[in-house]
Amino acid sequence: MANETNHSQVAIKVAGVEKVYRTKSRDIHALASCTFEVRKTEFLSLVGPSGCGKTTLLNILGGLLPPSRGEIWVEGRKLTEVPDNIGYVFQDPVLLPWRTVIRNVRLPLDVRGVNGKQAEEKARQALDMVGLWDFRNQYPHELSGGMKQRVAIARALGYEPSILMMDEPFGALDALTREKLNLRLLKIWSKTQKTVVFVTHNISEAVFLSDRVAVFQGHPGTIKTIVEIDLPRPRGASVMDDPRFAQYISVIRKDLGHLEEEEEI
Amino acid sequence: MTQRVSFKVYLSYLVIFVAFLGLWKFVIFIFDYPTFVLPSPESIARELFVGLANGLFIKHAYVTFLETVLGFTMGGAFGVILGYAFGKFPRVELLFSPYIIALQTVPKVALAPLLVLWFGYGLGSKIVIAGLITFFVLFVNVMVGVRSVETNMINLMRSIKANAWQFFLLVEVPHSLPMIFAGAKAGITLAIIGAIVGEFMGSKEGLGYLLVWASGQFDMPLIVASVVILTLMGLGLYKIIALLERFFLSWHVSYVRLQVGDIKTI
Repeated sequence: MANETNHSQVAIKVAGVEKVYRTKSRDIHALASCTFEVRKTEFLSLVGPSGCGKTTLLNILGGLLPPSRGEIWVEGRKLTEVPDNIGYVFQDPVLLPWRTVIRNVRLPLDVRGVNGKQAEEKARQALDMVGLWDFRNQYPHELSGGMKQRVAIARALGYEPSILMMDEPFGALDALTREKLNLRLLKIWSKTQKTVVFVTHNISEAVFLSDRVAVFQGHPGTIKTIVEIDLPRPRGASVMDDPRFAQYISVIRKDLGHLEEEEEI
Repeated sequence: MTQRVSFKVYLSYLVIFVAFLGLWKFVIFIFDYPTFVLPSPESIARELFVGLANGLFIKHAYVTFLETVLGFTMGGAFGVILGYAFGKFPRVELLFSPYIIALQTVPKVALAPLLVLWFGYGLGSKIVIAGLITFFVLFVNVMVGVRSVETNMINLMRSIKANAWQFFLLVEVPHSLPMIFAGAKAGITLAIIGAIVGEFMGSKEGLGYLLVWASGQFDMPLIVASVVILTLMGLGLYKIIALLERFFLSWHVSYVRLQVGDIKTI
């Protein structure tokens, strides 16, 4: 949609990014040319069916995967390696089972050589934000799935990146836990003023959380359209009763096109 | 509560042991076996007491202990280092794998005669045999351990910009430790076997030597007493490793308990 955003308000600029996986037998075109911008402090969701390339795109934006074509600028700097100002939350919590909760949160701080006291303080703040300070000395296997994912979020917040990359972080959780974590995520987001790129295949989750929803389509996948979600903030559970909420969902569902073509699931 | 249960368990161990000694006595009494066929429990106890008092067992056990521990640590260290290299660089493994598999298939104790000829009748040959056995156990376990680091974890470490050294220290080492300890527990008991077989082949000291010498004399009580000492040594060494494991891997011990229920660990 409209791209008249001022340069200083752009967190990530994506220009003609494509991805082709080369295997021995054939080339797999995972991602067709994508061009868009992520605005500073906005919550942007990437929505699409599984296998449409959303995770591929996220990994490219996070510097974990090199694009086959195209360029990316993260906060004005051309992306060549994993940037310093990005925090990643993966589909699985990926906690180190031999570290307690707090030491898992400290991991990125330890890696960056942040000194002990400071790291301790930042880890405390991050754990407070996800409400798990009381569980700081537990091991991951003693926590529930939702709590593990909250630890993973705290770990990403701990070193205070300006951008959060979230790859279906609540995909494996039950609906109730997911809703609770969505609310918590919104609170954290508004408090910390981060730019969030959020991958999900759940349309209502995307509408509920986002300022804008980028809708993926096709094989190879690409962003078909970006929908502005004009719902009031701060958002609580009552937003879901707003008639516009249902409208956005039906618009995005149509954009995804999966109700018209009875594709193989 | 748990205190009482474990006391009962210990009591039952004792009861079973006493019953076993009773059965033993009973069999000797009924069939009237001479001592050189089946020695009585008390003759073995006497042998143990005398042997411990005059330093015979200490002297020989010390030699076997030294061979076992030196072989175990050296073989283990090589196993860990090479296992890591092979696990980390699949191309190296591809190049050497047929030889590794061939060497692994060779029963290491079958090499004992050869190794004794090469390394002599002293400590050297026994250390080599014990070391060779331990090497393979740890080699395989570390190789598998390093390989089994999940892609997820690699991506996580990349996303937080960890360098190779940090990845090694913060992920690969702790990830492999449970497998290293599992290998070490198996390795230490095998290392004792290696040292003993080496002593059988040719030596002038050690518990294996004592066993061979005692059997030449038809000294049954001494044979059994030597086996008892050997067993105690094996248990002691195993226990040391198990304690180290508990100390370094408390997270893993509780993790395993969660997976398989609260099984009493040795």
